[in-house]
Amino acid sequence: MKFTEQMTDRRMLGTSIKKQASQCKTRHTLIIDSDEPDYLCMSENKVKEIISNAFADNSTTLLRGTPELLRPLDRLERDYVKRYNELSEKWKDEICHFSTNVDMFFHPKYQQIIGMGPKIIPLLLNELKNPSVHWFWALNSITGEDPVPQEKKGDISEMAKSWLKWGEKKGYDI
Amino acid sequence: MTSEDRLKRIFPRLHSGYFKITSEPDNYNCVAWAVQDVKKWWQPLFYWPKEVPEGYSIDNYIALYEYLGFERCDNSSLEEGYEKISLYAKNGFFKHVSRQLKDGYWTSKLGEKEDIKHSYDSLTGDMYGGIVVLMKKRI
Repeated sequence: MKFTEQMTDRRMLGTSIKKQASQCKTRHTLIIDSDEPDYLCMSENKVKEIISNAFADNSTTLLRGTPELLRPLDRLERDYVKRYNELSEKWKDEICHFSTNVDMFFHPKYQQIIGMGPKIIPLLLNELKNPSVHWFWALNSITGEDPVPQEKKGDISEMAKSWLKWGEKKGYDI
Repeated sequence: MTSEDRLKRIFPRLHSGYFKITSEPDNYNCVAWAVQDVKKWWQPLFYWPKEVPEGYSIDNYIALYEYLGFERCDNSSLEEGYEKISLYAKNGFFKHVSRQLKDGYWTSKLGEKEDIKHSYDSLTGDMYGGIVVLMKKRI
């Protein structure tokens, strides 16, 4: 199964899923590395369904990680995620002492992230689960929308909640 | 590298003056901290009073603090009954603002990182430019 081969070849789950399956015989143990960039959002039940189908077995256990994760990405998507992670880590390191929009959001690396377009919206929304000032500008620029009520502007936690609600309404599985 | 060492690397003048880290990183910025607001990030798109023109020039920030009751002043000395702030700029663009404490030292929120207590001009340099305007408000 293609999904299984991808996981095995690219060490997507930290340990080969096939190796685990052979060791466990009847019970599959799925270790999810929450830092693994090769997955986007998918429900825990969907993950179990996919893994169970892959091994024609009747049980799968999720040991750790973020249960809302997972679907296999095609190569183009993986490239996007990798590029996003590289750019955002460097950007965060360079701007952490800046206070103004000009310095933070007109930064070349931030502009490159915006330029990646709508495909990175789920990644940006996921980052808002740990609220920071970072991604509101990019979300606003990419979507053209601003779901934050006027009275909540400036309150980073409330702004994050507003964007996450927006994401749910738009169908992003976050 | 300790947080102190990191700050000294970014703000070299901290080597020669007093400074102390006084908070953990949090989601407010120097503009908010200057008026002792620890709940908001003050910037256009985030929180910005609608009565003040949005923009990033030093003039926009002078207008902001005038709106909040500050007036320009010409020295950084401790003055009974007044709170003072110092505005930093580079090439006409606002970069930072510090607030004077009652003991004469200054306090700054450094981006999304820590608050520090420091000497008057020890944050001047490449990162924030220079102090271009002093303002005071009666307390």
